[in-house]
Amino acid sequence: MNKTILFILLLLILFLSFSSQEASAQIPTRLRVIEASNVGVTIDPSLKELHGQLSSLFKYTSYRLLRDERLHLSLNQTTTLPVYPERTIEITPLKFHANTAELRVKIKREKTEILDTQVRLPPGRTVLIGGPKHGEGVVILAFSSLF
Amino acid sequence: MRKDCSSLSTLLDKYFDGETSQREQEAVETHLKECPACQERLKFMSEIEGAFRRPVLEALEKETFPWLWEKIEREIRSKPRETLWESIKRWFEITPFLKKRIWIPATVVVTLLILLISPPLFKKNSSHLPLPVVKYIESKTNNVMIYELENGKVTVIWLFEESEAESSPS
Repeated sequence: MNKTILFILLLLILFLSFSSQEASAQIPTRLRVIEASNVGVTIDPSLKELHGQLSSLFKYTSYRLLRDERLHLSLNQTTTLPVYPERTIEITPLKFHANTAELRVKIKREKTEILDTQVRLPPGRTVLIGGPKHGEGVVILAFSSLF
Repeated sequence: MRKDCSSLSTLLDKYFDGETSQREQEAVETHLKECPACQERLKFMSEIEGAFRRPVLEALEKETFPWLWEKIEREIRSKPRETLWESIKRWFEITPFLKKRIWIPATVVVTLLILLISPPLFKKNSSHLPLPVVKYIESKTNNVMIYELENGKVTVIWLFEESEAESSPS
């Protein structure tokens, strides 16, 4: 085969790999499941970074980390995680554009969908989804971007 | 050599080369009639010249210059006149860079680079667009509240469950 054709083919492959890089990108995110209550005054040491924001937003005195997941989400692939109490969360990244991830988040209680939302997660942003009861308090899900 | 021979020495050289004026020529010829030394000198000059000129003249006679010129003229006549397209083509051929046909992959490389580099340049700076963090939200079972912290780094989605108003964000 002609050397020129081979060279052009190589360049095309390089171009296609570059252009598909964004599409196949992994989206590193962090999901923390926090139990917030008024039982005692306990701040989980691993929540030190979030504590300032949590205390300015909520009136709870105790924050306990129930789960800490570092997720590498793939576009259009749903990741399902069990969340206390008896709920599941489904996260589907729909888009990753201009360094911002668009995530579709669904929270289900058994088979009932209790929340369906689509959020934009730019770098350094945290989205808190709270409310579901858990023991004496509530559960707060903290989504943070790790990109 | 007589006394006036030295004064005629330069003129004799000129006379030999045929560069004298009419007056100078007459003077030299008058002197030559009376001066055997200068006659001898002129004869010697002729012999010397003959010794050098003869081989050159012989070589020139052997050389076939007319044949050479005829050949050149024939080639000029036989060569068709170049069209504009042919001259452009020839220019491309004599340019070593283009002759190697590097320009094909080079053009592809440049085009691909432009395609790769230009989209981010023409993209609008998203940091200036106040895009909402929550694009849409829906809950069929619960009331929902969205709250954003002033520093713009935290967004809260609060799901109200039954008789839970007291546990909502402060």
